[in-house]
Amino acid sequence: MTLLRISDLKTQFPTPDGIVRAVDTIDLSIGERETLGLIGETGCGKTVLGLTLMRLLQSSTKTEGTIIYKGTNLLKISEAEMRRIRGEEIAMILQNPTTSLNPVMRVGGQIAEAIRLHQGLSKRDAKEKAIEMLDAVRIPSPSIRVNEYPHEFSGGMKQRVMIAMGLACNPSLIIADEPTKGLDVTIKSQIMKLLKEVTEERAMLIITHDLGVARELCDRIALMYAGELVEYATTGEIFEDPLHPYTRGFLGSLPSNGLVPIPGMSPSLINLPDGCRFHPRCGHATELCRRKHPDMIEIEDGHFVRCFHA
Amino acid sequence: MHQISKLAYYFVIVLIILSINFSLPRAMPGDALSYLTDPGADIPVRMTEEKREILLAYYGLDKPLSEQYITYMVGIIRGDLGWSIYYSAPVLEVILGRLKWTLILVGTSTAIYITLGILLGATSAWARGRKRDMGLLISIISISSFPSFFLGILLAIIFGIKLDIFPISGAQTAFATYSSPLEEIFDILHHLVLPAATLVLSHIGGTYFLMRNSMLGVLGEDYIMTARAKGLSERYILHKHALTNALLPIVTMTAMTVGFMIMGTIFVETVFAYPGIGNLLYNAVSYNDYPLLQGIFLFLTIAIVGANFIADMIYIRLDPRVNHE
Repeated sequence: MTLLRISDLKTQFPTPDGIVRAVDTIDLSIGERETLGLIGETGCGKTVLGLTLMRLLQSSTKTEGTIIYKGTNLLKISEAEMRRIRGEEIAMILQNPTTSLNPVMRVGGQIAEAIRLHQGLSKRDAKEKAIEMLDAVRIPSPSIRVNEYPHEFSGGMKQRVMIAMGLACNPSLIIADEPTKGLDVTIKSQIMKLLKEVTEERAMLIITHDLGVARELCDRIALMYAGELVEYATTGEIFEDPLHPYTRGFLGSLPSNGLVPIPGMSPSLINLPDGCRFHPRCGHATELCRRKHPDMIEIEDGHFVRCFHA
Repeated sequence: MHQISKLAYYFVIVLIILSINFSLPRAMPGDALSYLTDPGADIPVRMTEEKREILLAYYGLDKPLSEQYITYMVGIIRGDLGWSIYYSAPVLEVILGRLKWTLILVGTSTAIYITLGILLGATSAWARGRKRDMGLLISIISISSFPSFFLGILLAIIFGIKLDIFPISGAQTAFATYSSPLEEIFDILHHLVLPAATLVLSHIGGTYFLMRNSMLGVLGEDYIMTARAKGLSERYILHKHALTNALLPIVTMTAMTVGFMIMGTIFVETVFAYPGIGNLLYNAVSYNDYPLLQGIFLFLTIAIVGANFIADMIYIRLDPRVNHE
């Protein structure tokens, strides 16, 4: 069953230099207990998409389209109703645990405050729950650590705290933005193991530029390029039968596949190229690609791609 | 252990200040009698070399510097700061007589301007770019551009003379007899309003701007976004997450501005003839009362060092990271 359906979603920031089209006409859906990977280069708009779902962008942002969550359009409800959804229904684990934790507040308090807000528990019960959450993310001696401050935790431990915070109210959907960024290999594999457990009981949107993480954790993968989706399929199909040249390029840039970089740079979201947005970097580009913007087409059942030559 | 090393650190600072306080007057050209014998003095005094030497010996100024230094330090430990030439009384007694009033004035106005500055700064940052922010910003910039003595005169003319609701001089009604302590307190507060208002208005800008800036910085931090993602209300986020973080620089600034605050009281106490340390300092300078001047400087520096010590202690309470570094 579909938990979240995004249709025609557009997020634009007006700036003095022009309109930044950070998210451009995106259609996606996440089923219950499904894990979707949103993959793309830095600056392609994937974090903005996550923040749009949570309605956490500044008020000057323009958002169009629909985000249907359990039958409700999140873009139409009031701010107070949206606050009830945040943390309780949909939780977001922001990137950079070091800066995403309040340095002058005890870790336990930061986990407990959402529990107290959404579940109305007493201070003491919420703290008990916070200790349980720390234990659930495998933080040793949680009843001591609960009273400590973020600077007393290592990078990997802080990421665990972030995950505990996201899990605190047992949400149906968790959006995790770059959950393994900046972690060394051993810590990264531990965090991935933890995330794997998390995905078993709920839906998850994992935003990452790390294909290894996506392959390990995700049921389906959506590739994002310059604000729009270019390919969308099951994880198996993406890895075995990539159709879009960008997807192939992305896979080719993996260390295990020879570390071949995609030539060129991703375009500015203010000045997007005409035609296919990927054509200036694409080896197979033709006159058609330069002139016309390709639509997303369903090549096989559930395998979408935005390319004339796929 | 940490507290002890902190205390030792402040003890060394006080020692250095005392040594500077000792050497500064002695580094000036001439000697303690120059101001009497100088042809430019109000009433030049003629003195033979013999008489000079007798006088210098009387004040102990003929002894070697090291011996003078020890005498000075021993004097300070005993609470002997010398003899005020103008008031013809022990310096310590003169200062202590005035200290109460300055503590009342500086204490009240510091408490008010910091509280107000923090509240207005936070309000402004929260309403960034909106009417409320703009209104506050413009009014506070305007008020801050007046020098404190001018503000004092302005308030004295409007509220003291034109409207005649507040007294414009002194700390208490002269020769008043009070029927109850409550009446005395009211009289003191009544006299306090204008000088305290002047100090508040002339100092509020610093705290307000720092708080506004600091708050704007904090509101852009990732942990504020995390708090929003938990579904917490804006008001809760402001109080629980933003305020403590934004207050950190205010603590440091407040301690550092204690010195400026006392400079400010010189003008304000002079304008309102308030019998505090600022007024005393003004007199000490006017009458070349060096022992008194030295005594006041000693008190001021101790006040500033003390304020920094208190700020250090508050900082440790507010920021858990400091204690461990």
